[in-house]
Amino acid sequence: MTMTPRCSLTILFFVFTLAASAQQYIVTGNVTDDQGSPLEMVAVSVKGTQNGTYTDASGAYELSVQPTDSLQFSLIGFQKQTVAVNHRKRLNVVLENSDFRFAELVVTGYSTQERRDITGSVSSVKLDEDVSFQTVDQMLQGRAPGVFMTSSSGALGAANVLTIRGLSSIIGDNNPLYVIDGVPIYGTDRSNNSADISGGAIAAISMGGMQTGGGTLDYNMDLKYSFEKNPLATLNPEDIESIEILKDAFATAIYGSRGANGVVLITTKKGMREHPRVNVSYTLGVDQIIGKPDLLNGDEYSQVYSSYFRGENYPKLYNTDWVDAVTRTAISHHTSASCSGGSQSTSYYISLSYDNNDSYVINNDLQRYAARLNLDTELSKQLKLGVNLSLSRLENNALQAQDIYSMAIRKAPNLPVYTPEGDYYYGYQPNARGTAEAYNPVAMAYINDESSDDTRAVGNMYITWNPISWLSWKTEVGMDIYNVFSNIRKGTLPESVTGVAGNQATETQRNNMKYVINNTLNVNKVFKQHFFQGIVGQSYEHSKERYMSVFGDKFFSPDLQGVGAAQTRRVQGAYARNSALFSAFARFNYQYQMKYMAGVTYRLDGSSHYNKNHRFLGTPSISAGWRFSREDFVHKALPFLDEGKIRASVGISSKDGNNNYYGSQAVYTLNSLTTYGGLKYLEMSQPSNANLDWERTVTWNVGLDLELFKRRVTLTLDWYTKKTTNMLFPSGLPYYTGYTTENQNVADMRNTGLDLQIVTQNINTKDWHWESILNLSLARNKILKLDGSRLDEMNSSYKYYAEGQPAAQWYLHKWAGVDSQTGDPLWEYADDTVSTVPPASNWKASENNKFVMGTAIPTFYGSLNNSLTWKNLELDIFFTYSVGSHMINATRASLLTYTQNAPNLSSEIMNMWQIPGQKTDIPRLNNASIIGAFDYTTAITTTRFLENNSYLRLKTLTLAYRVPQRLLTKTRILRQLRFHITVTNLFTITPYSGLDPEVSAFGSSVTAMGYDYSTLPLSRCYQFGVTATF
Amino acid sequence: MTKNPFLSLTTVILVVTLASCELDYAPENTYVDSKVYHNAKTAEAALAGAYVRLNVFLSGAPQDQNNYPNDGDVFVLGDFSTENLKARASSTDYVAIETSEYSNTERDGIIATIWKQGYNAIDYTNNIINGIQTYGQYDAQLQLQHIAEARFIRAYIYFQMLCIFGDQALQGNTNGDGIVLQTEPYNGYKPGQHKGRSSNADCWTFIVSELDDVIASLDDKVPAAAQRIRANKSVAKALLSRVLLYKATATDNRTELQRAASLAKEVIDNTAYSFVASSSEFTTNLFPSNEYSQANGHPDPSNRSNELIFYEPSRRFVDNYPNGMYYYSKALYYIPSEALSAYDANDIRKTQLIVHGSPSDNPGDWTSAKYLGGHYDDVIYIRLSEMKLTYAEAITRVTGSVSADAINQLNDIRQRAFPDGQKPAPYTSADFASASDFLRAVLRERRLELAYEGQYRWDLMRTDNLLGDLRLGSIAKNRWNLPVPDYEVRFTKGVISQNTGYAE
Repeated sequence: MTMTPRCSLTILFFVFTLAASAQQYIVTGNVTDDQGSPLEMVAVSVKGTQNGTYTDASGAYELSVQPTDSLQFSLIGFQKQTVAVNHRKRLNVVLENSDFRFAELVVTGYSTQERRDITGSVSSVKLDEDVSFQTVDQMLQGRAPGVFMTSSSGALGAANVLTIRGLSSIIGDNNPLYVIDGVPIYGTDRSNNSADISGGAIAAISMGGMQTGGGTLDYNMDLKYSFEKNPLATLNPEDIESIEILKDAFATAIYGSRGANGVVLITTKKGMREHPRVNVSYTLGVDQIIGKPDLLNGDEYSQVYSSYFRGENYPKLYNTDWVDAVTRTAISHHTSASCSGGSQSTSYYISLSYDNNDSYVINNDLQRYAARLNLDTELSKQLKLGVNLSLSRLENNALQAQDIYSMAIRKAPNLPVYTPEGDYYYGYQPNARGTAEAYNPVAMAYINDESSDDTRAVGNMYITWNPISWLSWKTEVGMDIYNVFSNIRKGTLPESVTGVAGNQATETQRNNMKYVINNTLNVNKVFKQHFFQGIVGQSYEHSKERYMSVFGDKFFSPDLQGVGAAQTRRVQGAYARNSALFSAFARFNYQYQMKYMAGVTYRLDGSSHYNKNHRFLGTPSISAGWRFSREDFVHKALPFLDEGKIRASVGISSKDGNNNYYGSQAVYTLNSLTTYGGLKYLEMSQPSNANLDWERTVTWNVGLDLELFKRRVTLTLDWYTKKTTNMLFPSGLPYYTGYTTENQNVADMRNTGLDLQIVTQNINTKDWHWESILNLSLARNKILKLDGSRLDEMNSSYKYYAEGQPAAQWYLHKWAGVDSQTGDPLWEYADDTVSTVPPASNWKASENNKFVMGTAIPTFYGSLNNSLTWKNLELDIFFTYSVGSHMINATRASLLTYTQNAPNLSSEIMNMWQIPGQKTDIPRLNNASIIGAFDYTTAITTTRFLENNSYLRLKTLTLAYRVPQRLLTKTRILRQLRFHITVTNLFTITPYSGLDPEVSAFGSSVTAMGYDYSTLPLSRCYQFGVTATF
Repeated sequence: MTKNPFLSLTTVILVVTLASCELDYAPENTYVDSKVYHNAKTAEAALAGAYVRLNVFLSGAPQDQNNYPNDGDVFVLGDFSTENLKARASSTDYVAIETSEYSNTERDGIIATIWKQGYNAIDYTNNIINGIQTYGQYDAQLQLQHIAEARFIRAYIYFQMLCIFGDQALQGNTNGDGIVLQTEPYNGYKPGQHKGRSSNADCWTFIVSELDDVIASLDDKVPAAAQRIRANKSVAKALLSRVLLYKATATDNRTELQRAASLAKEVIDNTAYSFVASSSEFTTNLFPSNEYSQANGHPDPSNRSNELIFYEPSRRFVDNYPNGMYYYSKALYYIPSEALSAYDANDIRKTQLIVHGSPSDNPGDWTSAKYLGGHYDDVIYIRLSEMKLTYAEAITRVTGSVSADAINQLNDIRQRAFPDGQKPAPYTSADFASASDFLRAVLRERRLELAYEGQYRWDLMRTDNLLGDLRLGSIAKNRWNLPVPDYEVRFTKGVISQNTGYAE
């Protein structure tokens, strides 16, 4: 090793020190492993003193010693070595790999455990540092078996579907509980995170003219005028150290009443007690829409509509490609810097990040600023104090991206974007018809200002006390302050554009504040061959949510933004609500001879969401495990087995307060519009339902963990069956109660499945390393009981629920193609006959001729990851797959709907039936299934638009290069330097005919999942990144 | 560093935590039972809400803020299946009611809606009664009055429900199935635990005893005509008089008929109500033209007839409380010629109160001027004319002879209906050969006077079609009632049984 100038200086310094203490001198040296590679962060200390240091990136160290001292070298994963200095000035040391493997610590809720001690089902997610994710949930896609995650749209900051081990509730949300550093945060939930983007006054929807008969999403307010935010988008994914997913009842029982949908535990990065380490990274992203719908051009448009609406004017004028007009190649920048380090008693981690993402839809973007401070310090040997705090701000100016895109694909292509004078060309004239809302998608992007700003602080402060080595007490106070301000300003439109919200603004303020106080006592005690691990604790959580929305219109100036500048203003709504949860919990794990394990967990929750007599819920669970690999006979019989464990668990969990339901008393609303003869009056908006009780989920889980062939193969297999009883369902009532339906604890449902993960080290040599990870999840869902009633068209997502069937199925009329002789659509009836009469045209026939057609939830899904390393080059190929799911291609349905408003159409329409004998799937324009004002051919409640959306997708492909250590050493400041190129969504193999098989129009809702309703497809993204560590 | 700072900090946090473990939260700006019923102001608002539900059930009320339509069909039901009213062929719901031939569509549609709206209103009242008893902390006297009003509304609905659904309840079938009597607020449903129908006799007894109690608790004071939108002692007496008349006609229960007569008489004699003999009373104060005009909106009449006993107040708040009587357009039903021919030529109730209505829709057809404001007319539930006729009928049924007092009451009604100079000779006892002749005349007068006020069908049913109405006469007597909703029979697995005329 050549001595650097910095070293020389230090030596000089020590020379002066030596003058004071004549016997002391500097010893230097290098520490390597048995392969000769330098080892960084090896603790080097003078035995019996506090005097010590760490090796640097090149393995070098220097330390002031006395000639008779002994030096200790230690590093986790290596055998500790003690070497006498013996007057030597240079001491090179080779550390041997220790047989003791680096213990994998797993966060399990209120404490950590070693992986080998765990008897529940917990997945740890290995994070890919080379892909710049926007949100935490995206990081989980395909990374853990049993976790189903799909990006619901290409809209920035929009919520995704994430569900763990299937559905556990029908009317509630199925999103897991997210916990960051011990703080349960406001997570994904469609009803709580939707922003109204109607602009306040929803333009009356014209019900005249032609309509789709049988079922359509066109009038679904939930879809049309709302944007479901992703509350996880406020977190900087780079701050995350690890993510654990608690899946079975033993693992989730510690979160008791909120564990039924699984728990995602996020642990952020902590500082190391070492020299400051600065990490800087930058990623440039280039995003493009993954595909473009194939639409009519202006001339074809004129031709189709002129022949359908005979006598109406649809001139051939322009050939505008509206999708091109509203999309672009988007550039994004991600910059982050972190600094971590510490002293003997204190460590810190500080990070800052800035993201600037353009949407591929014009004039739409999202920016995120995030900062984090994690700090802990030892006040004394026994007392430790720490704080984790993150501050973030998310400015989402992409709320209308979805709307712009869906209007663009419907916009008549024979109209121009601009007038010859260069102004926006508004409206649908001179065409005889048009969609008022698609007045001009490009103008929409520029004249409207629709944004939502999130400001969030999540943090906790804790103090731990270790009076004796095996006992520790921890008290922590955590909070999540989540404020959302959204501003929907609709621009001024010319007077000729009518029926559209214009020149108005809505400002909405949501202030959510949650605090949690945890007190826990942890025990870890080894006593001969017995090992106890236990935790007893108590927790109180309180949440207050405030909401206020103001509306204003008639802005005098189109340039003024805020509602304050509007000429008329009103408060649209305001509320505040509190909820609280009081809990006490305990968990004990016991091991004998490190072979036999047993565990018991119990949590008692009291929730303010329930009536007093149903307020408390206890969630017990038990588990057992057997590390059979530790048995001599197993070891002899299966010498290739390094580690083997069988575990089993059973327990109860639940889901607290679905839909913020207050059932204990009747709820009334004051009628503000009218009076009864001058008397203000109250309307009952919800009758009392004091019997309302918790949903209970009992989960059985059996798992197998294996490590084989010198840990070349690692396998984790879990089988589970999850039965939810007492499930809330909008159940029918006898009418003499005065009500028709009400949520009742009547339903039972079962989910059974298999989670498998196999990790193999295919090649592991000095230069080559090849690792594969296969994730596979299988899930089956069945409704066991519904109390005789059944439900279809629930949540206006047209799903079907019946006893003995999977939940949320499609219930559709059967499309039997087009009669090649007449060009009329054919329909299949329940008695196997085929008719040209659409069953939806008759109420009775409609009911009797619907077919149950499967669900949007895949039968199996997962991922395959291969990483190949050659010297300093790393190639990572990550596929995700999903098989057996179905999607309604409502985009295609609306692009084939020509009977109303003359929107643009799919170019498929050119294949319409024209001559007898022609075989086509597109009926003749004027066909027998267009009856009166209804077009039954384009109803989304028919099998015509049901498609298999199974897919195999190259989710990410990454090539990374790590600059060799020896080159970096010369720079003297750089410790690490990496470059990477990542391509996201490079290609997809799917039978689905739409643009993207992954999308879901209903955001995070699992039960409503499976609609592609002009939903923004994902982007293909190229990322170029560099990471430097100093 | 000692342990003390840690221990004291932890102790503080523990104490704060345990002290603040509050779990009783309701949404801040939401009214729940305990907030509504503990003070008089909100309890009264809930009571007003129950009156609105009564309107919803009987004749309609404004849309709820959740946009549920609130068209009530019960009032119009009182004239269907009689020659008073004809359903237009295109309104299949009403054709089904008119003919008592129901398909599954109506059985699960309009029939179920009527049943549901009734029970929904009943649950409101049950909530009020229970809520005030549980949470009420205001003036005890006022609490009693509110509870009595709620019980009045409940009894009114039960009475109407019994007329509609009770298996020949008006026809003296005391052992027949009545309706389901719900007196506790809905508080969650236990699957499989169903309530059956009480017998007609039990239902009648319940309604009568409720009204007896209500009369005892309600205030005696009668407000000005413009405020007679809530129950007071006289309103309850008037309703009980009607209930007893309906109940006792078929069984000829003289005791009850005597009570009906006495109660009617008490109301007639109450000086707060006064009968105006002038024929212009019909068109100026009782049924003013209230047609919407672009220039003036809806008129807000300053005069209200002192004959009013209890009504729904839409006219006074025309812009704010539109209800739902659909006479004006004649789109759903109209007045057939046989109804017109029942009147004498100069009868103002024909010449002034039966009109063409909307000039644009079905201009040749007739409709009632009692509801010409589209959705903007008061709907009168009880008025003095009914009491006079009830008294005349009941007292005659009790004594079996025609008294001068009864004839006077009948003459009051009949004489007023003709303009000066065209009045017929007043009835004298010589005009009636027997008591039954007189009863027929009274019933005919009830038909003419109270047409389209929700009475005629029930009058015919309780008198075994005394006037020989051809339309009702063509329907089997066990189908004069409506069927109970099939849903109810299916859902309760037969615990609620179908009316005999409709049983399969």
